[in-house]
Amino acid sequence: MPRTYGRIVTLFSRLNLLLAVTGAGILFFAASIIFLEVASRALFGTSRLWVIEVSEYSLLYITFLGAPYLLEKNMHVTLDLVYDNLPRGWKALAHLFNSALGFAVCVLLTVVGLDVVLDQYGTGVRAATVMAPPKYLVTMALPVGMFLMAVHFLFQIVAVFRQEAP
Amino acid sequence: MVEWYHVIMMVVGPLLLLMIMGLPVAFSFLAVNIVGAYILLGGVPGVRQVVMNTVDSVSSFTLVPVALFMIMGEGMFQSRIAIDLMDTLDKWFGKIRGRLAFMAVGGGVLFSSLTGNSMGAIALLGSSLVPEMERRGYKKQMSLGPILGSAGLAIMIPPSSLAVVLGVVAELSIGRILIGIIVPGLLMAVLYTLYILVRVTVEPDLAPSFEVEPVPMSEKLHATAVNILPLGFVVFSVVGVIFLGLATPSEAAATGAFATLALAAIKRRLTWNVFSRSILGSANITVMVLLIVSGAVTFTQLLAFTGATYGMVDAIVSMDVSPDAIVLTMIGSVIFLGMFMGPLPIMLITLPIFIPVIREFGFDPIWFAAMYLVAIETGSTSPPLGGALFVMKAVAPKGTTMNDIYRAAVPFILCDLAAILILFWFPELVTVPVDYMFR
Amino acid sequence: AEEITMNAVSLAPRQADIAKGFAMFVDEINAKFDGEFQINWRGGPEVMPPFGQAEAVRNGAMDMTVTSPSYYSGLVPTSTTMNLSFLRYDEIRPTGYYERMTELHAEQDLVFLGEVPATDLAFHMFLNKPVETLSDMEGLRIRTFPTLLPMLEALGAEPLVLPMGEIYTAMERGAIDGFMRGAVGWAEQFEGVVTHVVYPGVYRAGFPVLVNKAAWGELPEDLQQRIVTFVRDDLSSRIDEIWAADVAAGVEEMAAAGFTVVELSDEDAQKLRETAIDAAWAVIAEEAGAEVAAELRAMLVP
Ligand code: NA
Ligand code: NA
Repeated sequence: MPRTYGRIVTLFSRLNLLLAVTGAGILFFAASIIFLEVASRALFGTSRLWVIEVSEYSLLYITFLGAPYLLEKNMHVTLDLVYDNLPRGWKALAHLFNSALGFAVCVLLTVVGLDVVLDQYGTGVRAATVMAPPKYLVTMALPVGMFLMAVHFLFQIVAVFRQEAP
Repeated sequence: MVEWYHVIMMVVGPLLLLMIMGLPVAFSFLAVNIVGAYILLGGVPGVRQVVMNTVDSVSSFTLVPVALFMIMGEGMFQSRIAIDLMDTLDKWFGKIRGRLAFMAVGGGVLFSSLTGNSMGAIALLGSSLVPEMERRGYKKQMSLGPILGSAGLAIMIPPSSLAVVLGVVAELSIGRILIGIIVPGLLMAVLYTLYILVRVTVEPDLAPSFEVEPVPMSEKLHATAVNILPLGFVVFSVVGVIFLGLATPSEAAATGAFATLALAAIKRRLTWNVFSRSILGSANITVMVLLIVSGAVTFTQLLAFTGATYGMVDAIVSMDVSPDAIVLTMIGSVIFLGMFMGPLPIMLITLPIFIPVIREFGFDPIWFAAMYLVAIETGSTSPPLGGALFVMKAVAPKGTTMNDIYRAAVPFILCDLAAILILFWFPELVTVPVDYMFR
Repeated sequence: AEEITMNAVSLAPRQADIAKGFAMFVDEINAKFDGEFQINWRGGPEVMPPFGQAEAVRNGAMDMTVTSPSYYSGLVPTSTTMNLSFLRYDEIRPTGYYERMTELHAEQDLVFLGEVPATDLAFHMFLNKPVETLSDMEGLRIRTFPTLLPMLEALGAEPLVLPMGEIYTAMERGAIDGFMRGAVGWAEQFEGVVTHVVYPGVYRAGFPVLVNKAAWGELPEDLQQRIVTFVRDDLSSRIDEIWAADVAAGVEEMAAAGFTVVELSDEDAQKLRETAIDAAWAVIAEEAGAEVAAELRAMLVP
């Protein structure tokens, strides 16, 4: 059983890394299309209407694909003023509280996010923009990222009870 | 009776509590947003709205430069272009105490003429300069502080996206605002420089100087030619393309990113390792910053929904004191709101009420706009939740605590306050250049 | 019965010029239905992102919005038709357009209460270089938004999309040649970068008022009827008349800011109007269906 659990943790860890790398690829892609847009306007006087919009959606995907990996690596910005100076026992308690709250927030946003996506899929609502993509394709990034972060917070809670953390 | 300040305390208090407990900033915002939306926006539909607003606030083109300037900064750091620059400066100015802190201010001024986005400026200067400054023995106050201070100049020296937005929201001439903020921006840079000068003189430990071996002039010139002049190409790729009308300020961040990578390639340093680390590193920081932005934007919208911010603004303009005192209170309130709200909503809430009052008192609205922008800038570097502080936390080397960042920021905030007071007493600093340009 | 209050948001902040119509809308309704029905106007884009306001109303997070027709065309594809006309409110009212729009919104679970009209605020082209004829506009890079896109393409211009905050610098440095918007209340801001404004303008402005279905259902039927009647047969018609002074002030402001007025020849003006109508309605037919497009066009374009 513990081995299976360990494998699941490793699996999610790899998935997080894969998505973070994908996000970085999207960042480079966004930079490239903007650069090419400037170049093509300067050289040929032509411009592509979709560039700005695609780079906007890129930001969204970079953020929610990359967030689970950063959470796993404990890299999200934290106000460490008080927390770092808590006595050991209190710190463990605060860590448990934070993991539980983080879990609750992420589960809730996964469920509600999925509900919004399904609703947008059902009504076929599109963004009121030039490209007018179906909105569910845009919104989808959020529940995906939230789900993986919920999983990570769950691992954190388990780790507290196995006395592995913080 | 529930006053506006009660509401602000009820909303901001739990947020601060969660953050202090050590919950990452982004998740603290999300948690408060969910509960707030559930209460204010009618239950589950409110939570659905949090999902939609979060998505909406991240997919915004105004945030694109933050990501792109990160590629520039990480590229310069990973390919060691930034280190070469500092080595060269050491050859020239090694004996001058605090030279890298001055360089950070100089870099801030230079960079502010390249970009209109102070989050992007912090991302770039912080990631390229801070690690190397620390390696050279600079204490955090002298590495983080000057960058926090001077990156904000991005909005004070044209091009400035916030100045444009200010013109649009306040219905003032954008051209006049852009001219009017130049002297205040330079004034801030001068105050920062004076402060650093005094501080490193009093406390030499903060910024070590080297006993530099005498370097032959030929070597100095060679290093300059190899390490500094090519940076002109990068600078041109940002400011030149805007000036020539080839790109908008946001797009120029992309040409800057590619120019940096190209320079690294020309220097034969763009290995796969350098490239992938630059892109992955900038993606990571983009994620950290944008996740916080998405939470903060929605938080601000909920706060605006409560009417508390409007209540504060109304209370200020109806105070029974002298016009001068009201003007200073308005500016103070902008700094106060900046401690936990982003610039755009602050502008949307306060300007339409403040500007008519300024006109009624017979003050020059452009003068007010200049002080207002300094205040916006001050607020964004003000603890506890000024946006610039989080960006710095995201880019600063591991081991940098929020406390370090707060302490580094405070002296520069005081410089900003001094700048506001100087502008308040000497409106000519704003009005004379504007009158000269728009005769 | 108890007084029912609805939360409302708008596409623009409360003190903005174009929010004037909604201020009148809110004030008059709150006065007329005092004790029965009240609107609590919470604010504009600082409270809720403008492009999400219609969805927020549909979803129930907000009770009411006065928004731009173009902001929710992804939800109700016929919404932008409100712009695609040269008629005044009083001319559209008898055609049955608003009743038909009510049905079309109901299909997406939205209550269409009525319109805050601003017919006088047509869209003009603002340029940083001189033009004389319609054909001079070929190849110009014009910043636009989706509603105006088909027309600009039909005119041979090179439309592009830019965030609002970038327009000034892009105009100043020549990265774009122009942009389109209403000619009211902002000329001073673009002093120095806009040199020419093209007359006549195209289309009409109007802002739909949308209400959440469940929230609307809580009002007694008789009250619903009285509100709809008051809005559609009295209030909207009067709101449409308040803009003339702003348009006149806008003309003065543009002159003070040094904009040169380019008056198209009668022939070109006619061609511009025809292109504007034909190009935009072709897109409506494509996105909402030819039948409903033809039906609505017959009401809005005589
Ligand atoms: Na500053
Ligand atoms: Na700038």
